[in-house]
Amino acid sequence: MSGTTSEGTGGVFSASSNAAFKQQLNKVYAWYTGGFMIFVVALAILEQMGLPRNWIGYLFLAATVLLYAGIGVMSRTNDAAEYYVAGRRVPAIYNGMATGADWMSAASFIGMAGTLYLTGYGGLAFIMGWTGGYCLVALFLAPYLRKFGQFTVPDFLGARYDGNLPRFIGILAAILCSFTYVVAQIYGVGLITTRLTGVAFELGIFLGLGGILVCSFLGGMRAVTWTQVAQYIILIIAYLIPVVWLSVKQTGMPIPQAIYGYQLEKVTAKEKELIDDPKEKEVIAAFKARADVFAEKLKDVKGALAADKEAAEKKIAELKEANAEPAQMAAAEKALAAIPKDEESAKKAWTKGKSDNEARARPLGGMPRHATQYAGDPNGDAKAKDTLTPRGATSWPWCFV
Amino acid sequence: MEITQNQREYWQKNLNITAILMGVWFVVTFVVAYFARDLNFTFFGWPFSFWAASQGSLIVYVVIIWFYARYMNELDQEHGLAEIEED
Repeated sequence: MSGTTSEGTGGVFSASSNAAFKQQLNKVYAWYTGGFMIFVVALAILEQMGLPRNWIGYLFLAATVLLYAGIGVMSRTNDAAEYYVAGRRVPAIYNGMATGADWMSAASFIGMAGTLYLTGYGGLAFIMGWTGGYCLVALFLAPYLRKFGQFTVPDFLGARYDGNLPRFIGILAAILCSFTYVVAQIYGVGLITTRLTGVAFELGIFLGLGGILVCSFLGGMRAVTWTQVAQYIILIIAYLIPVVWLSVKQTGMPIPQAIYGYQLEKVTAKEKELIDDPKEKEVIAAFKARADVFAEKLKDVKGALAADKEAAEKKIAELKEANAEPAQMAAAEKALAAIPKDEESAKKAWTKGKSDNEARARPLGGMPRHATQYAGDPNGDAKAKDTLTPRGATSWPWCFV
Repeated sequence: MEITQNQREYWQKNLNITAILMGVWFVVTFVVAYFARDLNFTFFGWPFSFWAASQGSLIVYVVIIWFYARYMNELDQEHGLAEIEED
């Protein structure tokens, strides 16, 4: 990182000094990528030699925290332009990498694949929102922020509209957006730290936050940008290897983006097979029958409760008479004890039983078919008309900004 | 500060390109999403609107940003408003 500290004067730099700066950056990050590869290979060798799994976790965590802290310390600065906007001279390609790392942050890294798997087309709103939001930033905000020479959005609003009210609105919006975002990120940090090291979730959050604090406090935007670039390199490798691997395994094609559509076709065919499968239909019917039993009981809670009690007591009496085995007796007594005490709790338990079983009685366990655009049939019942308008699609671009 | 003819032209062009690009942006996001059900024809194995949401729109977004950056760089130079590089 020596290249990033050598000329910290702020302001605009000459073309030749910028070119030298970029070359220096290329060198630093090439070394860094090589170092990362060696680190991973070394860990793999150590694992083969019998290093326990949790030690790999500790090593990974320590290495990353040290790396980010190191970058933070090396790019520490007390120049305002360096601190807030990295001296306004991050080469475009590196700025793109840093922004890309933000896109692939904890929330998308952990949650995105699962969200898409569960929600199908609807989940793509997140992808479009994050990416489409950059268009709004690039066209409406970033160029003016730079031309006005301001550091933050509230500063810009204050300068542009001349007053404290616009500035205050900007502050509110910024806090609201980043709070929602940061909560998800911090949760992700906690999850990862816990997973890698086995420490408690709360402690994991503080460890992760500590790393972020050291890094961003000392070096501001400059440190954040350079750590983001470092993260980008790790993230892009970590994203691509498993997906390319899967793609080769399943289709023999190493470009998952190109094969995505054909895989989707296969998924759709499999879904249809599963929906039409007679065994699957049997299972659905079984859950439906269970739900119906609960629905029948709910019609007359008092009567059903009395009948249940009577049946259970009768069973115990019968077993006693027949001198049944103790295990059978215990089971029958347990069944009696499991009957809800009063009408209130019976109603609650049975409603829950009904909705649980109904949920499982839906085709595909209630998951939408992956390639279906919106739930329901627009030409069908009235309920489906509610879901016809893509409500979700109208709110998302604002998540990003 | 007096606003020159040069600056006025520059600003008008800036507004035009922003409006055009945001129009494209609106079509690929909201219009395609709204008519997603009707745009269900097969496109290299995908239902078209699914492809648009997962890849097509993202490609368009990147092209929008790239085009805007290039256009504005040229416009800055044309009107002599580019950032001055000091030595």
